[in-house]
Amino acid sequence: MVEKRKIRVLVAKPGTDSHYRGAELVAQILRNAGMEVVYTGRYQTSEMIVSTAIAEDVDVVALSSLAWSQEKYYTEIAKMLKDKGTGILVVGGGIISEKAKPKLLKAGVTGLYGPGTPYEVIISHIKDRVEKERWGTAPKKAAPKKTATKKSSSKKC
Amino acid sequence: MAKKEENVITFDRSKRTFVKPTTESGFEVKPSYGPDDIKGVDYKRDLGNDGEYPYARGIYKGMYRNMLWVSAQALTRETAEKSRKDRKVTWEAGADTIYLSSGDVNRTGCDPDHPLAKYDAGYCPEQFSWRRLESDLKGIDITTAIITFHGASSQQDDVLCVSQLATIADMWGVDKKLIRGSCINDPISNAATGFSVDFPLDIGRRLNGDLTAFVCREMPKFSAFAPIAYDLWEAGCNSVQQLGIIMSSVSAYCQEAIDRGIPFEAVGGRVTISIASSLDFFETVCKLRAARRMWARIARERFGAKEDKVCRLRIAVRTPGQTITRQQPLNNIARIGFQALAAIIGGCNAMDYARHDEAFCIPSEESSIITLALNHIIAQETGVGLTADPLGGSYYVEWLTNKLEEEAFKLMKEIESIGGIWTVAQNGWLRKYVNAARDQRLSGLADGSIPQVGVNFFRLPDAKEPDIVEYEFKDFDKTQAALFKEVRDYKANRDIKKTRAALLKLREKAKTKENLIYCIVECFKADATRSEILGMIREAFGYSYDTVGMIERPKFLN
Repeated sequence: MVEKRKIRVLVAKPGTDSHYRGAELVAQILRNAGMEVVYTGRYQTSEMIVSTAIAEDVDVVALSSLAWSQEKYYTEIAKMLKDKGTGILVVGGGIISEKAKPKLLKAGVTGLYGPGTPYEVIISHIKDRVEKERWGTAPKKAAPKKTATKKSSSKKC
Repeated sequence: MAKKEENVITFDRSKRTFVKPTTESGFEVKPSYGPDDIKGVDYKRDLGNDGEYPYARGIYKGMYRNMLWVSAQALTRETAEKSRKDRKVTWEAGADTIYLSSGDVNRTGCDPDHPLAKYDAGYCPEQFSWRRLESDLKGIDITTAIITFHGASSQQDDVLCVSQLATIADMWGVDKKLIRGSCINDPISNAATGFSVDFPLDIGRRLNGDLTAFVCREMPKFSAFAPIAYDLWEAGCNSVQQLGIIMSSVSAYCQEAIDRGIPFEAVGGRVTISIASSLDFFETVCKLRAARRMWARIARERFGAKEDKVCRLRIAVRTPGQTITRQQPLNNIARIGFQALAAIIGGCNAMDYARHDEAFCIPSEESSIITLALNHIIAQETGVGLTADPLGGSYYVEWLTNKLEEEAFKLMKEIESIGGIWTVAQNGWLRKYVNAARDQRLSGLADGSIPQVGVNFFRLPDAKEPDIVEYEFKDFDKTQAALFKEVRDYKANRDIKKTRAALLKLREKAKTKENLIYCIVECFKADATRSEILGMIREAFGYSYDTVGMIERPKFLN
């Protein structure tokens, strides 16, 4: 069996939201759990995050924002990664409203770590998803999948 | 799905002991205190009556018997109209002053048409021009209202807000000398916490001193700075660290004004700090007492204050958002209540409450009304405010007040010995120091040595989804489209030659020692926007035009 490589994660902060401690904390937690982590720093556009994710060849993009714009950014970034056929998974954290949760899940953004989430929950969620969706069923650099779901949520609301 | 939860404190119920037998600052607490613990305390020298130097017992005689603390509410909605509507609701529920928090776009120093603001613009008022602030203040008599700018974590935002206010007063023909209020204007805590864009500290220092001098001369009823130890608490600092850093900052800001020819009496007399009331009840009470005494001593001993009244420190308290949990959110109402009670027993001058739904959404109308009710319960039902400093004279309280002051002065000395507060803020020492405090708090929360009920202590795995009515941004796309159009129109319809001339003059003046606030006011009057003004100052100091390094200088300024 081929030796599994370490999970690579891009921790990214879209938009003008300045709350960086959650992002830095998650980066540290994932590093301590044996993952390779790249942190973008603040003030990133969706395009910047997507191109860094591809350049760094990551398995997961972990988005962090406490601003209301998170729903738009998270869904947009998930869509861009999907449209490019990267197979990169997206998880998100921050103050996430209960109303936004179903829309984010539909867009493929999972995790949705709010305040007080135990570290283990974050680590095992990422490991499970990567092993199942990226290394298991979905081979790396899979052909772009046509997505049937229209992202009305990224335009509306 | 009763899953085994990690990160939960193992608590031996048969023993019923405390998880943490220390104070927030890490002092071991003895099971009891007595006269031996406060040997050497001299009543007149170390406490004084309420309203007397060194003001440990409160800055006014009788404290709340004359007037209750100010109950403030941070309330920001996406449009001026909605803010006005909800402000009216909170006013009717008993809030004394209402202030608008700035949006992220303002705080970052961008105009709403910046590419980074694409999705963020419009959730909060974006005062890119003086006209925008004017529309927020419509209907308010700026000579009688108390106007608070809470550009927390972004000093340039405060500087620009006050400059816009001065612009409005000039345009309305109102005497600036009548305007009352305050702003944070604290570049050192910005550098220490990094809560906003990393704005260059050399510019921050220049604008801080210029604004103080401007305010002392032109708006003497306004407080030119109210350094924000609150941010330091949120960044992980304990009481000692907050006091040490904030007192160093207050001293530094007074010195900046003195260096610009302002007498200490003019600047020292309005000194205000903003501080967090944590859940450590007695440390919060003692922190406020220690802060007043420290400032009184600094004012007299370092700045040679001749009058006692300029040794009085006003303290605005906010209950910290970080203690608000998403788990069992109604518990937060109790937390906010205890925090406020401690601050009021400690003799604060103004209270601003977190709301119990902050871990879900921006505060709703309902949660705002609940915290105002909390305020009224403390004020009118508990009776704790009937006498000044009701815990004064308690062995434990006096011991802890002494201990906090002593340790905080030690930290101030340490900062002095390695170059002073401006140096350590500039060279990264302060940020590292604060980050170390943060790591300590985070590991305490993770390993359970800092208990949080519902999170790491008696976490209920099967807790049902909470009943929180989240604030909704209705028709937000329309609001945002209108804002983008407004920015475009504003920039297209101004007298561009006038704007250009004012901005280029600002860039030239920024290279000299002249007070920049007068020049910034002229730029606003010539319809310049915030990011253009910041861009010119940044360029004069040798930085890129854009605060986030993303866009070029607009062509009309080439």
